[in-house]
Amino acid sequence: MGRFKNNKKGRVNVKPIAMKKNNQPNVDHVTGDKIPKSFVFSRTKLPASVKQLQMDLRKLMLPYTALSLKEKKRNTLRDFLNVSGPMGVTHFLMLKKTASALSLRVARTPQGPTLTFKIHQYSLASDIAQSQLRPRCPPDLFKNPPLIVLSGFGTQELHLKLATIMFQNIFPAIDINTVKLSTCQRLVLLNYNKDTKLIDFRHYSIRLQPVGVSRRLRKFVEKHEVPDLRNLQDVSDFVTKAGYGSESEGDEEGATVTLSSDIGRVNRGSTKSAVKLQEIGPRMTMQLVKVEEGLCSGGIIFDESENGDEKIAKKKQNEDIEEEGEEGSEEEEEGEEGSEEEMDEDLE
Amino acid sequence: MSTGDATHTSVAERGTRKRRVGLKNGGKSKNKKQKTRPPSSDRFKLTQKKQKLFQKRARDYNSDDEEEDESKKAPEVTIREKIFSDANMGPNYDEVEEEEDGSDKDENSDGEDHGEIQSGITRFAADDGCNAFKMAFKSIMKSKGDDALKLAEEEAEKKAKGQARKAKYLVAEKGHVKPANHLESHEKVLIGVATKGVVKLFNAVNKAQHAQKGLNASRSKDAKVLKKRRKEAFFSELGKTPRSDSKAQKSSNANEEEAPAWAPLRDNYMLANPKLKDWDKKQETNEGDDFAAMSGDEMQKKLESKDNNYNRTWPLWFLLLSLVKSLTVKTSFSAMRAAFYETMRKRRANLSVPYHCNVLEPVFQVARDCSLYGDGIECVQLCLFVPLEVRSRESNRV
Repeated sequence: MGRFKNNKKGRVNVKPIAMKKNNQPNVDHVTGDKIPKSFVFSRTKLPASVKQLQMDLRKLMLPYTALSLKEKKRNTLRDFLNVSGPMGVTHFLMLKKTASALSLRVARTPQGPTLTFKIHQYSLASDIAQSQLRPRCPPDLFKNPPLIVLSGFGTQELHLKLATIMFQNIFPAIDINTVKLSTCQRLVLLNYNKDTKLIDFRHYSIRLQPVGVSRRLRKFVEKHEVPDLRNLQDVSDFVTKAGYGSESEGDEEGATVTLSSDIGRVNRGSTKSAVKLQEIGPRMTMQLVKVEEGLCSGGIIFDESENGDEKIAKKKQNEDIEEEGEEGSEEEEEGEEGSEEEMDEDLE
Repeated sequence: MSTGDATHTSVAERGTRKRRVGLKNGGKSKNKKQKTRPPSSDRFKLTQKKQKLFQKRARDYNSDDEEEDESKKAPEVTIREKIFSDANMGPNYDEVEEEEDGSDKDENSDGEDHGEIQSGITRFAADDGCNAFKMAFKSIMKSKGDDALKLAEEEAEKKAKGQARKAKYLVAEKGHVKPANHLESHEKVLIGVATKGVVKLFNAVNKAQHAQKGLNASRSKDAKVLKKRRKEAFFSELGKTPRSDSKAQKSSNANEEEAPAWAPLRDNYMLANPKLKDWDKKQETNEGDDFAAMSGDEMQKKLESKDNNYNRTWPLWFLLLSLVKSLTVKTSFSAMRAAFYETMRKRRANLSVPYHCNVLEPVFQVARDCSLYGDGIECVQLCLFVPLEVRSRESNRV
């Protein structure tokens, strides 16, 4: 283990063990984008259940994250920054628990903006698994990055826009033309509620189920369960018996997909399949309270207590540019010009 | 059967007793004792008899003991019974145990008889609870000395500590919510939203991939066909009425330059970002009404002027952003379309490198503002082209 990390000797004690073992590509060959990688950690001591939450978040960000990242008390943010450069880590997710609140900070390295969310409620993955009748966790569930769905954020408010951009960039992009649907097994949903200003964070696993097949046949083919034929005269009875459909089948109509190719053994191409989601992973209800310019530093772009500011919008434009990787003062000037125009003609 | 029963209970008691002895610190153990002991009053009737039986057995077992010890056993038993009503073995144990060293401490190694005696006694004494402890304590203290005060203080301390620990635990667990067993309505809504997103994505992927079926991307000949198809799809999309479902066309693009076979070298590199689903169902229909009509020419001029001002690649999506925001007049869909198309045509020459798709998200959101129609996704395809060029230049710098 130490052999691989000679260059870091004497520097920091941050040991992202999982990262160094697999040679993860930094750039996706198909899309050509830099694959975003993340660290999930905390700088303060966490109570047990929050530690579990941190672990759940790490699993959520798999495979492009350090699963067994170990941090020591004396590691500061600077240490993490130093390590993140060579490893190609682009985002930090930091949990912090104080007596009053639990907060999650999402930041873009190296000098990107930082979003601070206050977590009002959370549920651990194990809680959710316990609450379900049949929790589902196929073995290769975490091999591929999840999809992300953002809903309700709107386009009006700037800090929300920044949040959407940030979240979309945390997970690697997929190419419609070449993606294999069998690799899209997980989904992260972020739903913004305007009235309460709360963001619901959910994590689902995606399952495809063929539609139009009777339940018994489907179960038989999927699970190879030997059916009970005691009361039947003939196998044809088993196959053709008209059973009542389950009540969820009615809901499936909106959720059917026509697949282009076979996925697994059961869902054949060019037949209809239903998309079924089952919740895994942590569940959080959070509220965006602060947006800062730098990495946990810098000017404050949005603060919940201030209820935003028109002037702050200027800075926000700059943040967007930084977010996309552009640099230079010219842009900032341009940004200001643009935003001035915007403000002049803004109806608001 | 009675003996079997007794042995069963004694074993059970011994088990609980072992646990309790391990918890030498305190008040907790006191409470636990009362919890672990089920109120099985029927057993206590037996214990009177059993007690004597056990005593007899003990006497037989410790046959080498002196007469003294045997006689002492009786009073000690009674004392012990009072003490054992509480599991706080530590200090009391030591005091009483001077008479009999090995027997009380090492329950594990002890003979079964001693364990049985003690278990029987504890069962008997458990009924009384705290009061018994108090009485026993007092009686011992009378005979022993003045450590009562200290012990009482310790007890109080432990209680306080227990409460402090509870408070700390509550603070640590603040916000931790265990979900209910059934799906609540809000959760169902969320699952519905997510399902719709996935369905749209999968449909789009299928359409795109179906169109490509049979074509191998690495063959240049096929690449041309691919490109052509996509172009056609895009153009047809432009001419389509807005209400039709056209999400799949996102993947098509109107890049008309020669594209090499390898993905990153192509100009239409990863055009669509299907993850980008900003589900703004509520706002969609409302925003459309807010826009007033504006002539396509005006808009075009605006775009061009903005373009000329900036030498560097200014994210056009940002311009769009401002443009959209500043639009206080209704914009006809076709006018917007024409304007974008014009700009794109002008920029076509500069296209050289693949672009990064993630920038499309803000554009998408901008475009959605312009969209007057239910899906909101129809407009994306138009706006995709603008950032296409922009981003390509940006990626140069990367």
